[in-house]
Amino acid sequence: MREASRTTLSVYTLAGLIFLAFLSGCTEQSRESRTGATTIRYSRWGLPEEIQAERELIAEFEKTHPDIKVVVEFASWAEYWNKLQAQMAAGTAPDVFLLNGGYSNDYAARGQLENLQPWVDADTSLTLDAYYPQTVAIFRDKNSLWALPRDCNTVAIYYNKTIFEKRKVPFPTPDWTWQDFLEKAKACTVDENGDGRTDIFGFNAGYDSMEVHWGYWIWQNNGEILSRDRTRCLLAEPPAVEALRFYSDLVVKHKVSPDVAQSSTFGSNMFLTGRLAMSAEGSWMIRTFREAQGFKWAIAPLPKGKRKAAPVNGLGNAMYSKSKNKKAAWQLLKFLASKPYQEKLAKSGTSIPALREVAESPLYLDDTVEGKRYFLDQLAYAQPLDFTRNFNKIEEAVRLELEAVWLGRKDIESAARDAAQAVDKILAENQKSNEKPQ
Amino acid sequence: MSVRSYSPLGRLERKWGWLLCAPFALGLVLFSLGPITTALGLAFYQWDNLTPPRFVGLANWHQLFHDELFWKALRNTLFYVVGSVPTGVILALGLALIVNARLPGIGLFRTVYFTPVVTSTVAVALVWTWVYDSNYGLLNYVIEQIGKLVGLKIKPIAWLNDPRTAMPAIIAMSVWKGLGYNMIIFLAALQNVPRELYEAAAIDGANRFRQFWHVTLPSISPVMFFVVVTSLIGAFQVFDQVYIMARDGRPANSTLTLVYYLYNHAFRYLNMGYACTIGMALFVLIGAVTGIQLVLQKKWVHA
Repeated sequence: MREASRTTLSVYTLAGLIFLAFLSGCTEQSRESRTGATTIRYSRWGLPEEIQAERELIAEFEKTHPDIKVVVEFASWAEYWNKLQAQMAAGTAPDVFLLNGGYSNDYAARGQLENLQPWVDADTSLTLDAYYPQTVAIFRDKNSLWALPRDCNTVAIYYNKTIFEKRKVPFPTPDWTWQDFLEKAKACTVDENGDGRTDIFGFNAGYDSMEVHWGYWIWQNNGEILSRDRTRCLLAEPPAVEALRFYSDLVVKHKVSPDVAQSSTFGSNMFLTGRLAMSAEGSWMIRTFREAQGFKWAIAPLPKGKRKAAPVNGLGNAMYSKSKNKKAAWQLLKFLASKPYQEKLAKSGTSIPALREVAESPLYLDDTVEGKRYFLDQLAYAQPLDFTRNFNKIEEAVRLELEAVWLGRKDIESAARDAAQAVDKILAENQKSNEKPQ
Repeated sequence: MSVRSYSPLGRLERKWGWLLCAPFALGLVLFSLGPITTALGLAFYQWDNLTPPRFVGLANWHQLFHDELFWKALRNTLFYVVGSVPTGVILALGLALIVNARLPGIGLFRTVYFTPVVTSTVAVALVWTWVYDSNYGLLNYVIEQIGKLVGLKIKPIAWLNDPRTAMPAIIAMSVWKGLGYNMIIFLAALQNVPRELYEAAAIDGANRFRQFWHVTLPSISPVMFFVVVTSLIGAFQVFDQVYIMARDGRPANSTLTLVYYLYNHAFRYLNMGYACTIGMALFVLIGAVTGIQLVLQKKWVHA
């Protein structure tokens, strides 16, 4: 009898707990609707500091828009896209979400994004001319606009001044060339304790990213990555191959850059630990490198090949096409592109604000970091990446071929040829699915 | 206890029985059977997760058989299975035999060997990434020191960044991590072997090895069967450690496994239909291997 009652009790407890769980789910729902305000959801990825800053900014928005309540959702960079796609599949994506150029074509083609052009046209309080034109171009497709610009980022050379001084190598100048770059990299590469192993490398030539690593070398050599109409990959053309040879020789021939073993896992850390004289990194890395201890560093523009070229990539905020509260979502979108928000972004020092007047104001530029100005100078001629559908697949196809070169298993000519072939295949698939009715 | 009747109390018990089963049964249907059936269907569709699925018949399967990367992933997975399962099982049995000894403080060792099992794979994989590091890694340091002792200068090995060593390195870590789990199962089996059998064998003049071969092994063979089957299934589905230690199948796709490839198609390339096809292929493969084992077990497992 006692035994039985104890079982009953635990079953009741279990049932009660489940019931409570349901109940709490319900109350959360009703609390939101009871306030009478429109509730919208905003989602972004980010580091903990960024997330804290975002919360405060959104609180400000809610103050000025008492009729709108914003639920902010976060995910780490790695999880963000999976989560967003799952939500889209379920038809429950957030009303407003952060987007990059790599995914906007894929989502737009599948009808997940609201075309913001009509909203911009109907709203006189917003002029796109105030933003860096590239940040708008990334999200523009013919007459459609898939996101409002938030920030823009470019890539430049971060260099370790302490190593340069120690090796008596002059600092990079704003108009330096590939040749200058190679000489400095060679001069800074050193085996300090004579054990036959390089301790400090002149540079770190990665191969993962078109944006940070290999893309702009090709442009600087008057080459192209994809054709304008995105039907052909031009990596096997002479200017591209020549650029890739210069870039891969840094590892293969001159050995001024760590090989696969060291570069793929600890690329940016190597600069932080003072084992790299120069590193090509995005403007968003400033915050991370502030932690650098034991050495001084500064920023130089990318060296110049046959011409000056640099990448620009920007993030934007997009509206979900199936949002039920588009008017409220538009208010939030406008706020995220507005001057007050952009000023806060400038102060946080993570990214360059897309709003030009804010980026060029002391808010962004007044900083102890030396050479930050070069980021903005580069924006004058920087070009967006060759975004198209399946951009991630394209980057990966190239990565795989370059990796073979870095591993010493392939020469750069055949790698470029095979990469172009693999990318052409992806582009052809894109063409095919464009023709099919969606 | 032993008498089952349909008395009022019995009926009540039956009701409670069903009720208590319900959470598990419900979960099984909602989160396992449902998705599995759906995946089976989706293997014949093209679906990007976002727009409605389109029926494509056997196109996914055609693509699968002509997909170099699929075969590469399959070869890598088989390499992982062959490399990790036999080693894991034999080492776990050996360890179980050692910690089965009745010695003071043996409980501590059992706990120590079991610790990796309760640690998350992600954490373990992160730590091992450092162990394998070519510059600062513990493993290279140890090898270098040993080299110095015998007067050899050994160049550090880039374990995770060399296509030849990356998968073996991951296998070694996985074996280490999974050892404790199988050890505990073997330990339980060893302690259930009747002592009389050993006594009888000893009287018959069997030495320790013969006792192990003719008494221990047959007695624990059902458990051995269980361990081999579950290890094989787990090994075919390897994902976490590859995801952490060798993102994107690095280097040169030498660590791309079937489940990683499936994941890429499902969540990165917006190819859920094709991902389901890969999943079904893996399902068939695991089913076949398990089926073969079920047949073969009649030859060596003592019921």
